[in-house]
Amino acid sequence: MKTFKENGKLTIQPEGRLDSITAPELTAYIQGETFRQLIVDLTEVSYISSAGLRSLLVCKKKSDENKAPMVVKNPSAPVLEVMKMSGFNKMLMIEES
Amino acid sequence: MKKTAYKGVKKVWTFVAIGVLCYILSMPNLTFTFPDGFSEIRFTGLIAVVVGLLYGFPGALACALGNLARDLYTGIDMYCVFGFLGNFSMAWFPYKLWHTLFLGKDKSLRYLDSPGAFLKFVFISLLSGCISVGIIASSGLILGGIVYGKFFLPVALQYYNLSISGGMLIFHICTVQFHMVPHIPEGVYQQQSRGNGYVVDAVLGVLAGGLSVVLAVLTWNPEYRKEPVVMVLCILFLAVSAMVAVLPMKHISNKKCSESSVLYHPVSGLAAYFILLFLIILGAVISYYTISSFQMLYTDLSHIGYDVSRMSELWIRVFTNMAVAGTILINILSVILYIIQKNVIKPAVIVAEYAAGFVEDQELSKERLILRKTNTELDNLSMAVDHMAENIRGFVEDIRLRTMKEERLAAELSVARNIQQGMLPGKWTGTGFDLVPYIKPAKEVGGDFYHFVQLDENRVFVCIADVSGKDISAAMFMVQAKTLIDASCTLLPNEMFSRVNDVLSKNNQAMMFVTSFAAIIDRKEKTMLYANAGHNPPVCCCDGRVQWLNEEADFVLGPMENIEYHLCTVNYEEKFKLFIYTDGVNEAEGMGKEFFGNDRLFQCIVESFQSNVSSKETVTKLETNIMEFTKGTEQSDDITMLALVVE
Repeated sequence: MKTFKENGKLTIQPEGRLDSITAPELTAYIQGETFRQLIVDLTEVSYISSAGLRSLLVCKKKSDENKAPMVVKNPSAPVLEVMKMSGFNKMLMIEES
Repeated sequence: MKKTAYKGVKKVWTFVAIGVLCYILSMPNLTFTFPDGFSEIRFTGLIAVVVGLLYGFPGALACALGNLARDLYTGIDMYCVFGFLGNFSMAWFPYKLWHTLFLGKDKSLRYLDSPGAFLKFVFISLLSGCISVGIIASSGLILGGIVYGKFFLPVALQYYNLSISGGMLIFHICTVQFHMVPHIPEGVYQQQSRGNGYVVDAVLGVLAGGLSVVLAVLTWNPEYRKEPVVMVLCILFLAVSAMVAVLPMKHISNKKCSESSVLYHPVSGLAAYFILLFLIILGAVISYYTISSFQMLYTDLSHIGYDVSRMSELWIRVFTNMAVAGTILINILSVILYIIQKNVIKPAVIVAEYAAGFVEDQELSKERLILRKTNTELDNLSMAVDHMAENIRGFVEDIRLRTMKEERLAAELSVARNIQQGMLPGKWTGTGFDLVPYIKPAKEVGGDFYHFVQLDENRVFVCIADVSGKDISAAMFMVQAKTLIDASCTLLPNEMFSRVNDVLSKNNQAMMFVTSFAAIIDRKEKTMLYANAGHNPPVCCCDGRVQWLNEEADFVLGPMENIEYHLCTVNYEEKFKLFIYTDGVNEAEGMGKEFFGNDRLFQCIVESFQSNVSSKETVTKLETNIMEFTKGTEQSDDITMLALVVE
C-alpha cells in the first residue's frame, strides 16, 4: 500500500487483493490521518472482498468526519462490478479513467 | 557355516601375515649385529605389543614363529628355544599385563584414550621388555653362552624404545584409522567390580621385572656371573615369569554377568585426532633424536678407532639416550594432552553430547548445561547452546499454552456456531412451494444466513444475507440482522430493508454491513416482489426463461441511515423458479486460485431449471459442482444457497 500526501490531499494506493487480510492495514492507517481531500486509488487492486468494501466505508466515514470529499479512483472491471452489485457506486464518488 | 569357514581362513592368513612381517622386520639383524654377536637390531619390537593387544595368544605365537624362522635361518642352537619363548613373551606379556594391571581405580576396558593410558602403555612396554629379554638372557646365563648384563641392557632398551616411539602409534592407527578391534580376554571385564582380583598378577609381574633388572645389575660385572645366588635368582625369575604368563586371566565369579557388559568403544573424535598428532610428534622426535645421537656418537667413535667392544658401547649409549629422551617426551606430552583434554576435548564433548541429548530428548527435560570455565571460545559455545536450549524450552511451553488456549477458543466458537446455525429455519415444511436451503459454514463462525416464512397458503417470504467479515463481530451482527429481518418479514421487502437498515446503522462504528436479497412470492397473483440490498444477483426462471435479476442494486444494510430501497416485481404465467446464493458460491476458489464464477453458476442453474428437476436436485447438483471445483483446497467462506420452485 502506497500513500502520498500533498497540501492536505491524501492519496492511498492499495495493491493486489483488498480482502480481510489486507484491509485492516488501510483501516488502521486512515484512523490516524487528517486531510482535506481523500483519494483512494484502486488501479492496482485486482479483487475486493466484503472486508475491503468495509475498509472503504471506514475511509468514507473518516472523510465525513474531516468534512473532506472522498473519491475512489480507477477501480478495475471486477472491482467496479462488485461495487455496483453492492450499491457502493451510489454512496461513493467513483471516478473512472 | 560358509561364513565361519571364511572367517577362519581369513584369521589363519592374518597370523601368517604377522609371522612374515616379523620375519621381515628382523631382517636387518645380519647387518647390525650387537657386540659379541649375542643379538642384533630387530624392528619386531615395533609390532610385538600391537600384535599382542590386537590378537592375544595366537598373535603372540605368530610373532614368535616369525622370529624363530629368522633365528633358524642364522643357525640352529639351544638359544633358539629360549629366543622363541622370549619373542613369544614380547607379544604375550603386553596383552596379559594390559588386562590385569590397572594403575588407577578405573578398571574398565580402555585403550589409548588418555595420558594415563599413555603411561600405562609405557610401563607395560618396559615391564614386558624386561621380562621377555630377561627370559632369553637367563637361558644364556644358565647355558653359559651369553653374558646376561651385556645382552639384557641393549635388547630390552631396544624393545622398549621401539614400542613407545612406534608401537603406540601403530596401535592407535590400527584401532582408530583401520577400525581393528583388539582381542578382549573372556571373563575379565564382565564382573561389575573385580576389587583386588589381580593383585597377585601385579605383584608377580613387578617382581619378575625387578628380578630381571637385579640380575642384569649383578651380572654386569663378569665376576659375579657364576655365583650360586645368581643362578638361584635366575631360576626364581624364570619361575615367576612363567607364573605371570600362565596365571588365568578369567576370575571365577558368582555373579553371572551378560556379555553385553563388555563393550569395546574405540577412541574417536577430537580425542583420537589429538592422540594421533601427539604420537606422530613423539615418533618423529625420537627418530630424529636417535639418528642424530647415533651420528654424533659414531663420529666420536671413529676418531678413537673402531672395534667391536666400542661398537657395543655405542649401541648401549644410543639406546639409553633414546629411552631417556622418549620417556621424558612422553611425560611432557602426557601433561600437555591432559591439559588439552581437560580444557578442550572434554568441554567440547560435553557440549556436543548435551546438544545431541537435547535433540533426542522428546520431553526437553534435560537439565541446564553447566561447564567449568575454560576461557576459550568453548565458553561462548556452551553458553549459546545452553541459552538456545532454554529458549526452545520456553518456546515449546509457550506453544503448548497457546495451543491449549486456541483449543478452548475453538471449542467455544463451535458452540457459538451451533447456536448460530440453530437460529436458521431448518427444513421447509410448508405447502405450495418446493423450497430447499443449503448452508455449509467455513471453519470460523460466519456471517451468512437465510430465512423463509410461509406468510399464508399462497405467499412465502425468502431471504438470504451475508455479513461482511468472518469473525465474532460478524456473527453477532448477523444475529442482530437476522432478528430484525425476522421481525419485519411481513412488510414489503423494500420497506423491511429500510427498517432493518435504520436500526443497524445506529451505533455501527465498525462500519459493518449486510448484503441481502429478500422476496415475497405470491403463487396466486403469480408475482414476486423483491428488493436487493447490495447482494449478489439471484437467478430466476419464468416460464422456462432463465435470467439474472441484475438490475442495479441498492446500498448494503448497516453503514448509513435513511436509505430508500426499491421494490421490484417479476411476473410469470405458469412456472416460476428462483435460486439465491451468497458470494461463497461464485467466489469458491479452485486449486489455481480462480473463482467458480458467475458463468459456471449460471450454466448449472440453466441445466437444472430447464430439466425441471426438484429444488433438492438443483442444490445437490450445484454442491457437487462446487465440491469438484474446490477439490484439494480449504473452504474459505460460508457457502449458502436456496432454491425455490412454485408448485
